[in-house]
Amino acid sequence: MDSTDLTSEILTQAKDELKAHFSALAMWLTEESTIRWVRAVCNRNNRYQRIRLRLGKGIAGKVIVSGKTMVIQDFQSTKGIDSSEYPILYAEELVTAIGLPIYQGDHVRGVLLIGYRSVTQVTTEQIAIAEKYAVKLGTLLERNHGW
Amino acid sequence: MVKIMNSLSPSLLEMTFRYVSDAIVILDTDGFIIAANPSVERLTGYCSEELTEKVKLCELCLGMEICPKKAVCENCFKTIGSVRSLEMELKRKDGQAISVAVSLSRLPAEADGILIVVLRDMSELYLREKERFRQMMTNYIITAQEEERKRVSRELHDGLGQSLYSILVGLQVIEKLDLPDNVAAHFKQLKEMSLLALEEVQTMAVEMRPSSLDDWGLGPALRNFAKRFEQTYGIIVNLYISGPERRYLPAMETALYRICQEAMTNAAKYADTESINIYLSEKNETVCLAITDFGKGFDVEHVQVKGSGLGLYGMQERARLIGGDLEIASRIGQGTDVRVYVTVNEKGEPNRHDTNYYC
Repeated sequence: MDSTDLTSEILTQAKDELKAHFSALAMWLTEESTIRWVRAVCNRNNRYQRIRLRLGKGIAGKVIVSGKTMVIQDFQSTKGIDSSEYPILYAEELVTAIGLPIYQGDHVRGVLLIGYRSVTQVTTEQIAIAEKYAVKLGTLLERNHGW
Repeated sequence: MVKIMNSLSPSLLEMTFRYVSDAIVILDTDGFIIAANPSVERLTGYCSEELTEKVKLCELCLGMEICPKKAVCENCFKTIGSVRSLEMELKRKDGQAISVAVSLSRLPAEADGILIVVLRDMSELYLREKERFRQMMTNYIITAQEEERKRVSRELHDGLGQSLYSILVGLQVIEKLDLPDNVAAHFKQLKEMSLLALEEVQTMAVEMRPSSLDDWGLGPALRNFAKRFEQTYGIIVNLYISGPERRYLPAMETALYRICQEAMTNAAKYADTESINIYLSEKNETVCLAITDFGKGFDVEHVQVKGSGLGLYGMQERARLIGGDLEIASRIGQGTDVRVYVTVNEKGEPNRHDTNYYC
């Protein structure tokens, strides 16, 4: 099994265990100085492949800059959001989302996104489970020098 | 002059009373209506027979601007003198209240002191006035917003952006010096961060208001926007430009650019589409901008407002300000098509635009 399949495998496992509707991996690409969604499972379309995010923007951008997990409980009722920052939520019609940092050593290299298409209460247990998968992805990235 | 005076025969006076477009009511000293012309019927819905000798004007009056206690006053038409102009609210037969302008003339004692009341319907005028005021406010808000965006964008670009660029140039000079390894690593990071900050400022400035719109016009500005939009939302944008690609009045270029931006953002948020087509064309002095998506579509008759609901309104207002027509066509499952048509003259100015709008 090559790393492509392994990445998708981990994303699927994470999605299933958390009873989510969507999961994806974003990576910070130094040479392009952008963030891109490099892999997704249960996507509705291919918009995620074309999205480029800047550091500090959107879930992925904020998680990479802060190195902390970010939770959006109910996207639709959150006011004052700049739509251009959350294209993945619109593209995949997600309303609840968890973004987790993926570390490689001391550096945040990517983000694991777990998404729900109906409003879902996110518990600390769920976040703990998601973190486990973020670590798994980090190990995989390190071993394969990529996704 | 003498001839006219002579021709004011009783029958002419009667004809005047009957055909004048203003409603005329004549009251006796008790405030009872003793005569009402046909225009009164049109205004109030009551026919002359229903009013004459039976009704006091006070019963139809819902208050005048001169009486502080609305509807508590009692038969003021009995005592009131001549008033050239005041506003009054009148109750129609169907129960609806209408605004009327009133002038009162008390005739001298020789004419039994009767009161002539001339009424003129103001409700349509008020509506027109209200609409005019609303349009003026919208125009003002849009213009103010656009001016502010222009100012901030320029400040970001010329001020902060220039400073960051200078810092970056300075850093590059230092980088060429022989730096110890531990310093060089920090230095590299510092340079990268400065570059990111510069990019950030430039992006912000462009998003606020692209200078290409002022420098190169609508076509090039839309080309840049399409490219950025594709990377922001992951939606493929196909831009088709036909006809003479020329400059239009700045206000018109801005309005069309903003309409396009709004329509596309709506599509990105709600349409669930993988691609959007933009058509910009000019033919026979009519400029057409169309934004078409291939997504969900919606019921145009029953719009379910998901955002602020201001977007659609804003597009219409911007189109109106440049004398354009905005059409939105959509069918569930078949995508949405937003179109603006503006007729222009040979100088690229819209034929009927609001001249107060200039941004």
